[in-house]
Amino acid sequence: MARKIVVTSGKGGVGKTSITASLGIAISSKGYSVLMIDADIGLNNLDVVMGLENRIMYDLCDALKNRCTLKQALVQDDKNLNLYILPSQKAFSTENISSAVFKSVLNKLDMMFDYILIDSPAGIDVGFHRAVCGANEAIVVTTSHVSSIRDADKVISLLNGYNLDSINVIVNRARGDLIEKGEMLSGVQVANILKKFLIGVVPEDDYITILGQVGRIDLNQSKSRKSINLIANYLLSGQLSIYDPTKGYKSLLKRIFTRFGGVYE
Amino acid sequence: MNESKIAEERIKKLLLSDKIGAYSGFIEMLKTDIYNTLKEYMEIKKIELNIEPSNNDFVLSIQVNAINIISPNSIK
Repeated sequence: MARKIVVTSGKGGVGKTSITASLGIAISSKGYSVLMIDADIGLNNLDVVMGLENRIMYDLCDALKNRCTLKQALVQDDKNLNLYILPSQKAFSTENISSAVFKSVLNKLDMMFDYILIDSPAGIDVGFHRAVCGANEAIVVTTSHVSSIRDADKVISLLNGYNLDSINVIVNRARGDLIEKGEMLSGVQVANILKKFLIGVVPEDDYITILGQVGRIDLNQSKSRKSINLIANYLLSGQLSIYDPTKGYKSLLKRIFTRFGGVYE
Repeated sequence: MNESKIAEERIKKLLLSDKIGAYSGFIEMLKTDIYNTLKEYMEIKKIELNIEPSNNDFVLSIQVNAINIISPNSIK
């Protein structure tokens, strides 16, 4: 049975889709079979972020309307052959895809994959609940900004009502220079405010923006590669090690102190 | 100036007020329940209740103006 992890946030634009795609790439590159489902029906972008938008023949809605089988709607990544996406490219609306229907889709795909990552839409309405309903675990993506943390807190309150095995936090777009100067909240501070377990801090990464314009996320070229691999490693093995985005901004002395006294890698 | 500390305090207050605001009449219900308990022990003139975030806790402050303490024999 697959581990079904919903990646959500509340606030839009914090990097849910990028994080979903990056984790999908990282986990599949370690030999596990991964399916990423674009549950942001109507405003889908997982296909674009993965650079697969021109390879989509069928999508989730086609499968539900029996125009194709569910398997035919899966798009295999051309670089990581263990990685698939189930797009929702053609839908302009929710097309009466209820939570029960969505859950039944997940159940059918359960035995085919080791991991199913569900890219949730922003917000906390029907789309959010549909994305969460079939998941076992949740990752809440937030940034250090007040509005993002506020929305993440509301999402966590809602997630607490589901019977999830875990609700963890990733802090995205961390600016090490600002955190070091005390001008931005650190990942630990954010997780303490949200009272949830921090599983990763991902630095602000221009490459994600650039690569997203031209093709797809390529972890090998991006600054966030190490942080994403650490998160993937935690999901796979339970070994927690959190990327320190301030590393390049600390003085030598401070780095030595942190090395012996701190908990960050 | 440590902006992150200021932001931290600001967010905690914001989340607290969101949580209280999410449950309609939360403060009033809590005040009523506390009043109903305290009135077994004293004649209450006025009760004020406040909730503030503090580090990782919430601190609940209750101020009660009581006119009289009820005799122990009156407590059922």
